[in-house]
Amino acid sequence: MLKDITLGQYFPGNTLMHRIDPRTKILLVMAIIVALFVCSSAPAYLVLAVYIFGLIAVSKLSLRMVLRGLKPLLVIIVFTGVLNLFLTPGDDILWRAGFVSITMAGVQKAALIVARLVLLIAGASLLTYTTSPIQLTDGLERLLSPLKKLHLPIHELAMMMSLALRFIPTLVEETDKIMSAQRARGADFDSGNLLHRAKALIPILVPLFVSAFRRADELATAMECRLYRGDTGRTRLRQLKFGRDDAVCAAAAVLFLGGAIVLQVLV
Amino acid sequence: MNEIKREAPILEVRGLSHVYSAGTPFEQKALDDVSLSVRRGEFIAIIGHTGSGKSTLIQHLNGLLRPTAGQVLFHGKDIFSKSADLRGVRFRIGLLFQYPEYQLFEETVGQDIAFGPANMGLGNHEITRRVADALEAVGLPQSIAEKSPFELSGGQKRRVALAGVLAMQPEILVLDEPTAGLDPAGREEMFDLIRGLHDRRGTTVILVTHSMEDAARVASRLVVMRAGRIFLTGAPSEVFAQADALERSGLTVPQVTKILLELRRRGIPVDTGCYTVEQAVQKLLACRKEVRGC
Repeated sequence: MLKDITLGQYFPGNTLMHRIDPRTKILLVMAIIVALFVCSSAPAYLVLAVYIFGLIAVSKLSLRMVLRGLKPLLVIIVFTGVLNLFLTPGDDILWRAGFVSITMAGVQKAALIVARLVLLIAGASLLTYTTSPIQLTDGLERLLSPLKKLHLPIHELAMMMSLALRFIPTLVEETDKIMSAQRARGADFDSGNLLHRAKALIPILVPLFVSAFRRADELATAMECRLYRGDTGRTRLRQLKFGRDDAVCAAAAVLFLGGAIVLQVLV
Repeated sequence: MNEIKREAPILEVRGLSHVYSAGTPFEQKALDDVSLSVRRGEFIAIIGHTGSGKSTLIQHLNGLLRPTAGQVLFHGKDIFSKSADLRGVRFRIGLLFQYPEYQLFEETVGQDIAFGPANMGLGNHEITRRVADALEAVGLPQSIAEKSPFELSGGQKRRVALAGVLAMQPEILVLDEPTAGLDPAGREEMFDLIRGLHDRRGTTVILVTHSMEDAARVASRLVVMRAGRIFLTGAPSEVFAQADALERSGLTVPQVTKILLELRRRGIPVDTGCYTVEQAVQKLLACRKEVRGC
């Protein structure tokens, strides 16, 4: 069922990773992503893997849940892995059948790509698993606020993002409900050819769009009623503050990510 | 022997349990060892608070949810067994969700009602007949079939959605809060309509509601749910006789029953097992006679 998609979902808790400032977490994840793309050697990746899975352990997230988040992207991971495995040219041929061959370079490249994708997703999901959507958009807004000087509508963008995030679970629930209702009338979404399946989506999409528009309309009215008028003069309930926890996390990040990059450059 | 055979349940739930989001921090036990049997022609009301598991239960009845443990037997056959035809079961156990007007999607009302029968693989002639029949059953004019469902009023849309389920001519009709969000007149009409379906067509009805009053008015048997379990079951008078237990578990009993309970608490020996104003009058008169007699 749709409800079982865990990628991008927030799991409440009270660990170090849950407590630190969302800005720290966003910067942390960006640093992890940069490090993953800078590094390509085995020792550097080992350090990064230890660091990322260490963070997952610190956040008390179950490994099974994080791995389940990989499931929707499994096809992409396997596809790129296989393509790299077979299509990388090289001299050190390990196995050959007709025009396809596996080279040593191919094995290395495939392993690197798979490790990179898995760690990327694990690292990014670390952010969404431990940060509530509100904190996330608050953090982003504050991080991007210097751009307001260039008259970019940062607050409005952040508001749109938090609204979008807020309504994902609602829409998922709604979709589930509509699917159940149409199933109760004998709709069949799982069999038949592609055209048949695409057609079977109409009874879901029409009611879903109708209700999404209705919801948007109601929300706009509700915001107007509470005199929402954007950024000017707006105060915040939750003030973001950097603290000791953030310093600890930053130090650990410098140690591990820096260490990985040093290993990459030196070895 | 004959008697027993006639009384065999049409639908039976055995030891049903359901756990949502198993294996995540959101794990939640929604149903816990629920057993229930429904006889042909019964009118059952399932009552309970939000989150008591009533909606989860009815989604098992036609196989929309798979149980974590337990069985659902329809005409004695397990609907989740490998040989069972789940889709076939859904045509015979019609389920109408809460706020069903939000599922309408077709260009015209007629086409929307025809969705179920068309999925059954019926011929055009039969579908046309069933659409007309369903419209009549819910008390809407035939001319409405050519309109867009989005032009109709809320109450009309809900009737169209009900017609969409009735057009499959199910043996059992399961309704989740069919009167939610309707005004008093609309609620009255909807109950009359459902009662009519039960009385005239002999359809077995399972109604989910959180209103004790509504349940007592239409149903011949009440099933009270609490925290994923069946808490009380029986005829309305039997259930309301245990009004104290109901009140303690946070469920409201009908207002007249409440008054009788309070009278009893103040020492007037009135029978509290009733739920309509007429019944209450009778009980009070009987009580007065008794008290004077002493």
